[in-house]
Amino acid sequence: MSKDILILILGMTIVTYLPRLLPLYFFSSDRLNPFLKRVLYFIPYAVLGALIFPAILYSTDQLYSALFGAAIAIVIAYFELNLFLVVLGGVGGVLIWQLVL
Amino acid sequence: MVYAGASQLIAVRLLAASVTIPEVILTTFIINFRHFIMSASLSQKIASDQPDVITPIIGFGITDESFALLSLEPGCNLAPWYMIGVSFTGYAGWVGGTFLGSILGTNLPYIIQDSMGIALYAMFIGLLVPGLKKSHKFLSVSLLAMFFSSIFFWGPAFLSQISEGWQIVLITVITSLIGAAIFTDEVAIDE
Repeated sequence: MSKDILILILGMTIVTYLPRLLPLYFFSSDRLNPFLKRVLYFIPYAVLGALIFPAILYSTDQLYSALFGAAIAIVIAYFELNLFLVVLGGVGGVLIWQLVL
Repeated sequence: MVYAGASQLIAVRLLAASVTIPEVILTTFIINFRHFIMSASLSQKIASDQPDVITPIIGFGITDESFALLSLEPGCNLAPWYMIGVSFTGYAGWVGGTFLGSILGTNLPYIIQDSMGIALYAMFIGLLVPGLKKSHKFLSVSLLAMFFSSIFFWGPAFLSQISEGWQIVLITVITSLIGAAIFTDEVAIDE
């Protein structure tokens, strides 16, 4: 059994580590095709968009509390205040909504 | 050693359901393949003259969170030690948070635990919004990704049944390809 666990941990390490490591070597060339370069450049905005929505709507028990928290976080983020304030605003917004309603 | 939170939870659950080890490993691979895309994108922000001994350490530190932070940092020459600092602050926070959570977790009032559910998403918003203000290109790409993501979530069963990890990969690749095809002007690195 403990040998199985060892194989499991080793296997999980390989499949989580290699996909993160290898692209750092493959794509680091300065002579990368400009189209591919633009694709890579847009990835952060696409990933975060997809990670945030619609998952954020279901991140708390109530849809409207999540919407309210998200709205407050967006406003604080828009004014480019400290990241910690954005998180605090989001959590606080949810809390206030749930306490008031 | 396995720095992948969700996968560990799922591995425990799958093992309890007596799923075989290769199946658990395959599931882990599928869930985490999105980091392949993130790593590829991040490779563009690493100075090419950095010592290669550091690359394996940077690779280990790539997560959704550290990627969000690093990839939206302006400039294309992130100092390797800065990347490692960000990553391992994250690693320490993850280990420390797990410990703290196991002590505090169930002692916090439920309403506070529930409110914390939005924290990660609020952080993503805090990182993303300043970037979106810089250019309508980024705003368009992000909104398009949210649109596709909604289709996968609420759309037909053959889409919503795809595992979440692959959904993120598909949405990201499709959206970034469309973005790169529409906005053809040279990538301005220091935007």
